[in-house]
Amino acid sequence: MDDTTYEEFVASRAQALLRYGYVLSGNPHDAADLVQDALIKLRGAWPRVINKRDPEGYVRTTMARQHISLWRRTRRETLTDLVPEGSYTDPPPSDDLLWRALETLPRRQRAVLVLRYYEVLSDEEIAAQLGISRGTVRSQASRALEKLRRTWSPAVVEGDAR
Amino acid sequence: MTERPVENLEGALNRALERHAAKAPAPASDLFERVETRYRRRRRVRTTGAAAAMALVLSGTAFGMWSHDGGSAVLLESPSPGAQPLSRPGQKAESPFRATPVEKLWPEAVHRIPARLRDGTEIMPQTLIDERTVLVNSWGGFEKPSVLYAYDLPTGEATRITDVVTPKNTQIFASGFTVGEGRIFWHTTSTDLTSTIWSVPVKGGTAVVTVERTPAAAPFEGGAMTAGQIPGGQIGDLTVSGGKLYWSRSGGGVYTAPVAGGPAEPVPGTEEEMLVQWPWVGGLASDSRQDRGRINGRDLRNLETGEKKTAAFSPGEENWDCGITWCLAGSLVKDRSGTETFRVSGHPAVAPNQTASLDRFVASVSRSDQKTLLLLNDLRTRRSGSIELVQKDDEVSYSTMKSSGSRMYSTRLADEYVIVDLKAIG
Repeated sequence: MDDTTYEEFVASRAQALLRYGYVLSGNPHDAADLVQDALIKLRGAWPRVINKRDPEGYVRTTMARQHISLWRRTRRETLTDLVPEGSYTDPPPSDDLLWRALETLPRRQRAVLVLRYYEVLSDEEIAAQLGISRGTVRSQASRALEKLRRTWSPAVVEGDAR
Repeated sequence: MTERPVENLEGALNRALERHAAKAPAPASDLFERVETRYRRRRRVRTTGAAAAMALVLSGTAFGMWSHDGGSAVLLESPSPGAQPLSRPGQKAESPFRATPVEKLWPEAVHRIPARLRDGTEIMPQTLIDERTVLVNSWGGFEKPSVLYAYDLPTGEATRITDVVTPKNTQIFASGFTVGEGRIFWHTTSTDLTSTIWSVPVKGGTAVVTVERTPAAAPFEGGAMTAGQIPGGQIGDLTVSGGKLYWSRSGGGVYTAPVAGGPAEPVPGTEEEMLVQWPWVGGLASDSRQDRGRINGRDLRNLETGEKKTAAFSPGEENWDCGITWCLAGSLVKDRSGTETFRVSGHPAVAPNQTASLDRFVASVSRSDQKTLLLLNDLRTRRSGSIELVQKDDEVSYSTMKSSGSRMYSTRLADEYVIVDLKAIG
């Protein structure tokens, strides 16, 4: 990170964090909530976190844990009136299919997949980030993949396989 | 090696997530003010009325607990001496890298080649045969074999080397191309998880089986990357040296076979090791070996000289992958002695369990709203060469680094490949 102040961190990382929140939750409002809540938490913890040199890791961990927490599931508070950026052209159907299939997964399973295939973390890192055991990471991932496999067929995916 | 991945569910998932991430909402223009307002409100609640809740607080760096307070969330944190100033003067930048386009930074090392041969055949670079020749392949598909070509950089001429044979029951197609002692080697893996190593003279000819049925690897469990597992294959870091081939078996163990052909033999004492970069092998992180602290390559030994190295880590540090000089954990980098720690910009484009290429280079991807840059970070000089990636329908595709011993980085841009000869960088 080049940025050293909290304000600069928010300005420079908000978009990336929103993207993360969006793939975690699949929903722009939840994404915005997750980011705001995690940034508020970071605000209080900034002096401690900055010493650990990884404010972004702290925020992402907070977001992932918050998202799968029981408390989150019962809360529905829309604080933002954000409009999506850019164009809304639809991605190819196969991707849409997978994206929609992700919505059918329990939050923890989805979080494990996002950490593995979007954040590209190892199972150990995922376990540490979500505060669960590595065995749980693996079983959640394999259950989730199994579910997705039922709705996904390689033949449907656009043909640029190498 | 992970490169425009073979279409599997994991690859498709990664692409779907990346593509949809680009559709995330934009940050509110007053985001900072909103956060600040809510922070102050929560702080008031906490400091005036949340004494009981304080007892629930975890340790100093643990994550705060949340409770519900009449519809508004209350953040409970560990006690702090009071609101800290927002600015922290004197905090140093974490990433020392400055990016420059690769062609400006390393003109002698960068080449661009068209993605199709003159006859229209689509190709993909695999490695450099020498400083002026790229090994490229075409890929066939149904009833059409892949072909290997030597692509001459100065003239753009491609010379056919051989057809790539894909036996029945092949699960992983030809990959891991490496060049040494006048031959090109690669491997295929069968559905029973044994692999075959093939070779052909650089000058061309018929591909022959060099090593048949290498010892089977542990099954790949739905994309889980555990210590020693090799992304995209069962054979890792295939290397040629002194008339012999060496490789890591996915899951652990270093194996060897004669270049001239013959059975695979385990290298004694390497059962819990992997090839880091010939002749160095490194111990695998292991849950049963807590003294290794779950750090891949923490202990290294040189198979030729017997020299040993160990990396300095504090207790509790884990999930690092160490090469000869550098250890990586996500975008964090530190040297073996632990005296230098820094970060590369953006998101690392390094496959799991991999270390710096040629003990020196790490790729990462840095995004802004306008463009996405692939950065080749030179850990030695702290310079980054950037390649602007092509965004098409909100999708950006790029290649990760190949195995740590590979001298080539290449990635596709629209109708061409940019190729960086890492060995040619001074």
